[in-house]
Amino acid sequence: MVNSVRNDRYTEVILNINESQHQVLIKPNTLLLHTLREQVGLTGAKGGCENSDCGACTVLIDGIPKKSCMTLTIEVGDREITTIEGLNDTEIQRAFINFNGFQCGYCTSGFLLNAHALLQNKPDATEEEKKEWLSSNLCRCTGYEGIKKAVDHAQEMIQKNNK
Amino acid sequence: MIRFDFNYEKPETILKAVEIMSDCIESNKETIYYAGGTELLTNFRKGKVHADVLIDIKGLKPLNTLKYEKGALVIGAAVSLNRIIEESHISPLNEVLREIADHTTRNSLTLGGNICGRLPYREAVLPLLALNATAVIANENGINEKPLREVFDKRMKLRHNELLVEIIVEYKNQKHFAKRITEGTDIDYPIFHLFATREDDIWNIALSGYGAFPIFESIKISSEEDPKSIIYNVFKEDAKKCSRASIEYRQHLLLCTLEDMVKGGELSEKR
Amino acid sequence: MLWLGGMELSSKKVITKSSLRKEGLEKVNGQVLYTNDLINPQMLHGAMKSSPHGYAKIIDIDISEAEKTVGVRAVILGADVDYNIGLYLGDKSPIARDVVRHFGEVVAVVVADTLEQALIAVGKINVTYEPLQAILSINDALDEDATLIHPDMKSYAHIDPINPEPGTNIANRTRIRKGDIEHAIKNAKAVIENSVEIPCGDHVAMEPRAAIAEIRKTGEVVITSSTQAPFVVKGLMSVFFNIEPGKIVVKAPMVGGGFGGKAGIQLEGLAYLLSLKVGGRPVKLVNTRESDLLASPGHIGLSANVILAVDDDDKFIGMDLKYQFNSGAYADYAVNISRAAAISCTGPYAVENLRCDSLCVYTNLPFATAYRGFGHIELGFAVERAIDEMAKKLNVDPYDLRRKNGIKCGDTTPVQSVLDESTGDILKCFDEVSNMLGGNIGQIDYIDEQTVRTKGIAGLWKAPAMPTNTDAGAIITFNSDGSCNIHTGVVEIGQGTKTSLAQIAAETLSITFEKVHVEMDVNTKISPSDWATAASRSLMMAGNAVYEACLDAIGQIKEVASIVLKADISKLDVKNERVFVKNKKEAGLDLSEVVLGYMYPNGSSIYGQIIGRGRYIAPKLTDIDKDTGAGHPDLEWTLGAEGVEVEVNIRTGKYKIIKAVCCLDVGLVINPDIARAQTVGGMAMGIGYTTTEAFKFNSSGKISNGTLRDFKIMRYKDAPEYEVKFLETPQEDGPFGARGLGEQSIIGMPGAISNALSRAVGEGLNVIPITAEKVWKKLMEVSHDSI
Repeated sequence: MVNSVRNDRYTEVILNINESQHQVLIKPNTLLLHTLREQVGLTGAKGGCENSDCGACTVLIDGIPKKSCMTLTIEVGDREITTIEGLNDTEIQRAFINFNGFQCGYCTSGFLLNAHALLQNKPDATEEEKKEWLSSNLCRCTGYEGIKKAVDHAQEMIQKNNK
Repeated sequence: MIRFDFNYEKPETILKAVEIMSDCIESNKETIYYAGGTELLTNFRKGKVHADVLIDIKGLKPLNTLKYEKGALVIGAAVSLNRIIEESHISPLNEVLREIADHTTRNSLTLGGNICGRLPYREAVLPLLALNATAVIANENGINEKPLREVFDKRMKLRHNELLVEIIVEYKNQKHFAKRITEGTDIDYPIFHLFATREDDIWNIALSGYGAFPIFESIKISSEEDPKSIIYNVFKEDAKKCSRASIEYRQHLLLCTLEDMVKGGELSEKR
Repeated sequence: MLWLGGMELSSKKVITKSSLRKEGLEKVNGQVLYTNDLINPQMLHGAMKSSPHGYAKIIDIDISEAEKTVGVRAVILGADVDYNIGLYLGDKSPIARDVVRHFGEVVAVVVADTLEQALIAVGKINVTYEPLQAILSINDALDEDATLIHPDMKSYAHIDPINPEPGTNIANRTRIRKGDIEHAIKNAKAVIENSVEIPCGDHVAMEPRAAIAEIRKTGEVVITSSTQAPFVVKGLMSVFFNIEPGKIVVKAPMVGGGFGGKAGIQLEGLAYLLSLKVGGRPVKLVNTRESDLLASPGHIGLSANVILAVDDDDKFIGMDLKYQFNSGAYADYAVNISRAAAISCTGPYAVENLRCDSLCVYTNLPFATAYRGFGHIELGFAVERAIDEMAKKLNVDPYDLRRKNGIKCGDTTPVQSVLDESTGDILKCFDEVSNMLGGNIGQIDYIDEQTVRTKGIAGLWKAPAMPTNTDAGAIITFNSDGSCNIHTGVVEIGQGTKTSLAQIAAETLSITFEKVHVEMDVNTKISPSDWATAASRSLMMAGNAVYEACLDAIGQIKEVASIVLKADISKLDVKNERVFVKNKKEAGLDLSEVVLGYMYPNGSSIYGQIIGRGRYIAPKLTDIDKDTGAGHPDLEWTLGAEGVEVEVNIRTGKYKIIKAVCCLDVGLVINPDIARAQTVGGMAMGIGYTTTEAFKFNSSGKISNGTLRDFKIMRYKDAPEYEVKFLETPQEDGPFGARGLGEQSIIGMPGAISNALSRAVGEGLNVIPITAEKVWKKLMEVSHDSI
C-alpha cells in the first residue's frame, strides 16, 4: 500500500488486474483509466467523458463497479481490478450478442461490467434495482431495449443455473 | 487527464491527517482531504480546483465504519452512499441518498464528500439537517461533536484543517416527506428537492436545488395556522434561476409540493 | 436489376433471418480497436485550445510559455494556415484566424510527446480577445443591419448546387415552386399558420472523434480516423491540402457511433497539419467530450413557418413553407441539409401547390454538420405540428387527416418527380401506428385530477441526400474451404450493415452465413470506393454491389466448372456450396475445389482464384432547378409513421413517454433483429432530441451545458416501451427488394411527442426541447386564456 508519494515522482504500484499482477510506474495524478489503457494495454475500458457521466470506463474494483476515469491508480494498488478482458463467455456477454445489447460497441465494456456485477451481487435484482444500476451508463445507439432484453435474459439464465 | 501534479498522503490516523493538513497550511500548500474523488477529480481535470497535496482519508478506520451505537446510526464520513443505502435502517435517509448521482458513482461518492463538497446541491445534508444529526469533527485539539445544524450554514463551516469524521443520526420514526424534481431525466441535479420532518408543532424543512445552496429552517407552526402558506412564504424568495429552471417554476414546484405534503394541516407521509 | 418475381420469400435461407452480428464477439470482449485504442510509442499527441467567447476578435496569442513546456514539439495557430476549407463552401480556417465565430472554436493546437504535456502547454497559451456582439438567433442574423459573420463570403469557393448570398448571413437558399400557392390559399376551405423552433444540439456519439495522421517519406499521407466517410476524407484532404489522391490513405477502424457527426472531415485535417509541422511523425488528436460537443460540429437548428391550406375534402391543397436553418458559425454539411429539407419539404403528403424557401443561416453558435435525418427530422416537426393544428381547426381526427393526404405511387414529390411503384405504403403505416397505440389518437384520457394521457402521431419520409454520382463497390475473394471474404468501403458504425451484406452474399452465393467473412475495417487503398456510410444508403448501394460481386463470382465459378465438368455454362447451377450440372447434383464440384483455381489429379491447374467484382452507382439522378427545384435528386424513399403515448402531470408539466411505436416500409427486412434495434435506437434519439437535448447559452454565446453532466441524453430508466413494425413494399432496384432504414425512425418523434403533449395541454408546444417547465408555462397560458 502506498502511503506517501511526492508529486511528480513516479512510483511503482503492483496492480491486480483480472487475476494477474502488473507492475506499473505512475504519478499520484495518474487515473486508472489511463494506466489500464496506456500502460497495461487493456483498452477495453473507454474514455467517453472523463467526467463520471457516461460509464464507458467502468471497471470492477473488488467486484464493485467504479468509473476508472474517477479513480486514481495510486488508490487501488491492493485491490482486485476486473476489466472487460477479464470476463470470458459469461452469461451477460452471450446475452448481449444474442439480444442486440450493443450496436457501435463503445459503451459495451462498461455496460457489461456493470450488468455483470449486478447479476453477481444481486441475481434476484428487481426491475427497480436493474434500472437503478444500469442507468449509470450511457448508450446512444440502442435506446436500451436490446440491453434490457439481454440483462433480463442473462438474469433468467443465472437464476436457472443457481437452482 | 489531470494537468498538474500533487503530493499524495495516506495517513494512518486521524490525528496524523489533521497534522499533515496543519503543516501544509503553514507552508502555504493547497491541500485537500480526499475520499471518493467523484467531485474533486472532475474539478481537477477541468482546472477548476488545484491542489498541491491530497490527503487520502478513506483508509482511516472511523471514517470507514458504519455502525449502530446506543440506537443511533454512526456513519463514517468516507463511507460510500451505496454502503449506507445497503446497511442503514433509516429509510428516509436511504431514499434521499439513492437519488444522488448514479449508482456506479455512488460506489465512490462518500457522505462526507457530498456534504462538504463545493457543488450547490449537497442533497445528503437534507435529511441529516431535518433529522437533527450530529457531526463529529477532528482538529488539532482532538475530536468534538456538534449539532450539524450549528456547523452547516449554506455550507459546512469547518476550519481548513478540520476533518469531518462521522455523522450520527438518531431516527425516532419522525413523520417525514420528501420530493425531488429534475429538469428532465432523473439522473441530474435537482431543480427542486425538499425533505421535511415534523415533531409536534415544529416543521423541519430542508431544500436543495431551489436556491443557491441547501437551505434549512425549523419552523414553529401552531395548529390554527396554515402550514402551507407559512412555509411557502419562508422560502419563496430563496428561489434562484439557473440554466435548468426559472425562479417562477421553482416557486410553483414548492407550492405544489407543499400542497401534497400538507393534508388537513398534517404532514402527509405519501411521497 | 429486378428483384420482383425472383426467389420466393420462403426459399430464402439467410436473408430475412436474424443472423448474429459478425463483430459481436469482439465487441463483447472489448477487443475492437477504435481509433483512440491504437496506442504506440511513435505517436505524438495533440491538444487544442478553444475559445471562451461566442464571437470575438483575436488580438494576440502568446505561445512563448507553451513552447517552452517540456515535451512540446510544435504549436500551430490560425496564422500558420492561410487558407480556408469547407465541405461545400470554403468558409472555415482549420484553426481560427483573426476572429473566433463560436464558443469552443479551436484557436491553437499543441503537439507534444505525451498528451499530458500537450495539455499542460495548452494551459499556458494566453489569448487576448476583443469580444464582439454575438448573433445567436435566426432573426438577428437575417436582420438587414446584421453584422456579417462571414464578410468575405463572396470569395469563398463553393459547389454549384449551393447558393450563398454574399452581403447577408445566408449561406444557402433553395427554392421550391410547384403549382400556384397563392391561388390554392385563396380558394382553401381552411388555412392555418404555425411556427416552430429547434435549437442546436449534438450527436453525442459515445466515442469522441479521434484522428491519427502521419506523412511518410514517400509523400504518402496516412490517416486513421473515427470517420463514417473515409473516401470523403480522402477526397477533401486532396482538395484542401493539394495532395495527390493516390498518396492519401484513409483507414477507418470500427466507429463508436456516428449519427452523421463523423460523416464530414473533422480532426483529420488538423492532425495532418500537426504531422506536417513535426516532420511527418504520427500525431494523434482526440477530442475530449467537451471539444467533441463544442469544437466539432453538432446538429442544426431550425426556425420554421408553415402555412397549410385544405380544400373542401380536407385535402392538402397548398403549403407555403419558410425553413430557416441555424447552421452556427460555419456551413459544413448545413448548406446541404437546408437543400435536402427543401427537396422533401412537405413530408410524406401529396401537395399540388407549393412554395418553399429553405435558408441556411450563419449565427455565432457551434456549427452544424450532418445529423441522423438530415433535415427531415426538422421539416417533419414543422409539418407534423401544422397538420395537428389543422386537425384541431377542422375538428377531425389527426389520424384521419394524415391518412387522407398520405403520398402514393403516381403522386409527385415537391421537386415534381413522380413516385414509382417502389414507394412505401404510408397509409398502411398510419394504420399500423394507430393500431399499436390502440386507436383514438385524438382522445384525451383523464387518469386523475392531476394526470392525463394522450397520444400523438406523425408521418415521415426520407430519401438519401447525396451527390448524383454516389457509388459503392464490393470485392469478394475466396478461401480454400470455399468460404469468402467481402471487402466494401462501408464503415461499421454500429448500424450492422456489414452483417446484412454478409447475409446478402450468403444468400446469393448459396453458402452458409458462417462461411462469409467480412473485413470490418476500411482502408481506402485496398477497399473499393464508397461515397460515405451515411444517408441510410449503404444497405441498398453496397448491397447491390455485393450482389453483383456474387453474380460475378458465380459466373467465374461456372466458367471453371464448365471446363472441368465439360458442360455448358448455362446448364450449371451453384447451390449449397457446390457447382453442378442442373438436375444432376452428383456431376459437380465443391466450391472449395474451384474458388482458388481447379487442380486436376495430376497437379496441373487452371483458371486461378475467383475474384468477384461488384459496383453500383446511383442511376439517372439529376440536380434540381435553381428557380423551381424541379429535378430528380432522390434515389429511393423510405416512408413510415410513428406515434407515442404520454402521461402528463397537468399541475407541474412533468411528463413521461409511456410507449413509442414505429412502422416503416423498408422494402424487405434483411435482418429483423438488427433492423428493429436500429429503429428503436433512432426512436430513442428522437425522444431525447425532443425532450431534453439542446445547447443552452447566454447572450454572448457561451454554452453552459458543454458536458454530459449538463447536456442530458436518455438513460436506461427513461426508456419507454417500444413497438416496431415493418412493411415490405419491394424496392425494385434494391438488393432483394430492400431499402434504407438507418435514420428514418428519428424523424417522426418530435412531431408525435409534441402533438401528444399539445393535445394534453390544449395549446401547441412548438419549441424543442419540450421541458416540463415549458409544458407548465403553456398550461398557465391556457388557464389564463380561459379565465
